[in-house]
Amino acid sequence: MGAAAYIGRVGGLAVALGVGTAIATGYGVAAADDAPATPPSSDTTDASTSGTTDTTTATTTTDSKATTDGSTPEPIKSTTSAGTTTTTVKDGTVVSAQTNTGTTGATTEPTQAAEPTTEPTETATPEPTQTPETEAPKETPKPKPTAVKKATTKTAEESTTSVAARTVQSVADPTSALQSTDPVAVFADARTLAAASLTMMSPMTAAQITSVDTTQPTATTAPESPLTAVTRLVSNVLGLVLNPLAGNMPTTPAQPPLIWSLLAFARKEFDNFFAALAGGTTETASPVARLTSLALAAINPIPPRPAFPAPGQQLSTSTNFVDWVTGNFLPNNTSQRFSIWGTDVGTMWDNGIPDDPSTPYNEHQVLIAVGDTFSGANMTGDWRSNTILRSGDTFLVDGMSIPDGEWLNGNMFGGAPLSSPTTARQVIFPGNLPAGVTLIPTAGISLPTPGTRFGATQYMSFMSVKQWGSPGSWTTNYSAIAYSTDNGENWTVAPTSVRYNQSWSGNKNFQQSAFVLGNDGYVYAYGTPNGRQGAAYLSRVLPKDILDTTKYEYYNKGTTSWFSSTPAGWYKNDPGKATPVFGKEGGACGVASAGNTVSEMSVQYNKSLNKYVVLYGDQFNNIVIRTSDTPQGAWSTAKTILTQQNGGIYAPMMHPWSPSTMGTGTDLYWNLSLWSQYNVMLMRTDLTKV
Amino acid sequence: MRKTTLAIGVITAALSALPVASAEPPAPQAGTPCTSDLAGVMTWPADVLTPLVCVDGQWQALTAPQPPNDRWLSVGPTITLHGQGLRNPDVASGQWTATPLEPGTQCRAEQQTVVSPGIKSAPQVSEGEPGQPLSLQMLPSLFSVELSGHCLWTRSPS
Repeated sequence: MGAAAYIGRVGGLAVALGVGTAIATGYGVAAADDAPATPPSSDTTDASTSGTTDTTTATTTTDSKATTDGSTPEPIKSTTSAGTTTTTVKDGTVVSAQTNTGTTGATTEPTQAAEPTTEPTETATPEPTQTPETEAPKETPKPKPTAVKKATTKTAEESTTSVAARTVQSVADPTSALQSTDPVAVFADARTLAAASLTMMSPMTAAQITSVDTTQPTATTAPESPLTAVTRLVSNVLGLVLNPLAGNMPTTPAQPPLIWSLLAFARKEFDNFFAALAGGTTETASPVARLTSLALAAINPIPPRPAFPAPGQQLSTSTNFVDWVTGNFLPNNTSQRFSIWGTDVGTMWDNGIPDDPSTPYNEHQVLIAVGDTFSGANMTGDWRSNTILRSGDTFLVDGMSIPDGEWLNGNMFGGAPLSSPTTARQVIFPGNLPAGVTLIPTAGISLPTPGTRFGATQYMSFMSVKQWGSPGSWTTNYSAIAYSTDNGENWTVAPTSVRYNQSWSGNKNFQQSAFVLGNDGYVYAYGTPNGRQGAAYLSRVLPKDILDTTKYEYYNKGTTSWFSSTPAGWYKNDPGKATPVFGKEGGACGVASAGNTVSEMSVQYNKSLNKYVVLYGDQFNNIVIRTSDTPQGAWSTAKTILTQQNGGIYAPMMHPWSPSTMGTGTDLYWNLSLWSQYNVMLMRTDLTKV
Repeated sequence: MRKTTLAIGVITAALSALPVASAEPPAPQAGTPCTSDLAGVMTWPADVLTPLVCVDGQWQALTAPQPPNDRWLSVGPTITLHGQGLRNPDVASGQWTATPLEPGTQCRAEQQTVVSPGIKSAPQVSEGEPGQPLSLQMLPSLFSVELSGHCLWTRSPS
């Protein structure tokens, strides 16, 4: 055990740094000894785990994993098989998916264990007046903090791969890019936010907030460990080597993409190496995958990031661009690793699977569902209608990292379900349902299902697009829910969840979705009509019935006319009864008000605000935020947090592990799609500045 | 040896006497002028992220997605546009006509439609005679169309 277990990793790192240094110094190609870079032998690999030590502090828990049995680099959890899986569900709907792992139980509809605190009524019930409990939902994500790892990560990145980006950002005047936001009425009290304790926060946030609960240690205030000092020393050396590259002098040589590729690899190795030494869980378990990354980095240099937006760039008073999630560039290089040059949407949810201490990787992840995906520039090449990415990154200040894929080794926690070692595959297929032109994920949620393979089932709502029209306009065939019991590797469309887009049916208002688990145990499912011109409607259902549209209840705010009146309340199996809960407020002023129409949206319960929060794009293509004490409202007026940007923005999808969502800070992280780049960005909003 | 040298000389002379293909017009770039008859026309050079539109006598880059346009310019190299099988389509299905802007130009369109999500059809090619207009149907569920030749593509009013 001990350092010997990391020799292979150090070797890879040495190669990356050796070659990188040679390039940086401009003296030709380094003749690095390739001996350390060869795949680690079984006795030097880091993958296997036979012992676990949990170290608990006041606020964080770090699982230490140790390797004693090197003969099994990758624990195989299931029988592995390659090929195509064809699944037939009850009514004949066939779902085919090429899979790299054998699965069991995927065709069985999972049973739910969670029960709501109150049984729903069969008929209309009065409008609920209870406010949500202050306790968080039981499914509140609890990612494993890796304070030392992340502190190291930040140090390493700032001194290596992000030198140019950070330098550019520091040169630019952030205030020049500021855009005014409309003053809108009632919203969260900043004082309440500021009083929230911070266990995960950016330096920027730390500088802005004076009221910090000092009794809770944070990553930024923890005593410096010897490992951190070593990391800083190495980083300083790297910074010194790279210093000429950060300049813009005429004598400065052009920045070779190769060095950025190698340094990106080096950064990842630093993350893993120091995280492992410090007892954290490394995301990249497979030494083969690590070598693959190194080989890819060396052979195919990674292009630099697009010029706009620059990492860290402030785009509004409250919101800045953090970094790219997808793209053929840093930091995730999804093109080379997953054949994802471009994609969009990126709706996220906690997979609800706790870490298994007996494995070398962290099972607790965020799943990221994306829409039309292409392997080539400008939407060319291999086309997939949808796919899944995964991330276990809990420290989002420097972006959201996506681990390498895991190919044919039984590990279902790699960066994406694959159809080749470097190709993310489509996961939802139309089966016997109308095909349409594409199947776009709109929302996801994980619910506990004891007895299933990982104890949790993933549910993903998607829309079948019949035809695209002008920006913000499209028609759908239906929406439906697919489910997966293997962390998103294989999905089955539930026929009982299909909502056809028929003009005479209230289901037309539930073509795009947003899920949130209520504090009362219900799953709340918001819906909008196809396109971006409608309002948001609300339904709820017991977790065990999420796949059965007949079991849903629909919220009606109460209507009165000359001939009839409908009391406010919930109406079972009658989607036509649903009335808007926000958007389309109406009136002459409504059209011009922020948030009047609702686009792709995401809803969360925010523990720092003690409110439900929704993000969506409005009729001006601005991103707006609303809050509410209950899922049905009343929702606050919409407040713009980000106006339309060059290139076209859409689909704001909140990250479930945002500090504000977790109740540990005031930052809200969210994915946002940029049409011109056709990729997904990670954004950060400081809720104290909204 | 002398015969070989002679043969090479003859071949070289013959090749050099072949007519040189006329140079294609320069691809539009943002900020470069466009003629008034192209007002409202769009084009999409391969190396830019968003289409260019001819406004006020200049090619200007779009900053946000726009509705499908009914007039597109191709200048020699292929431009790739998307139809209603993809978000924010550039062109709508219907009847289109390609008009050559030079006497010898040949207009060519290669369409691929959506078969099912993630699956495209085989390319369907429409090609006009040199210097002659090309009439074609932009297909429903069009995924992409590659337009080539120095031509103006116009959608007929439906």
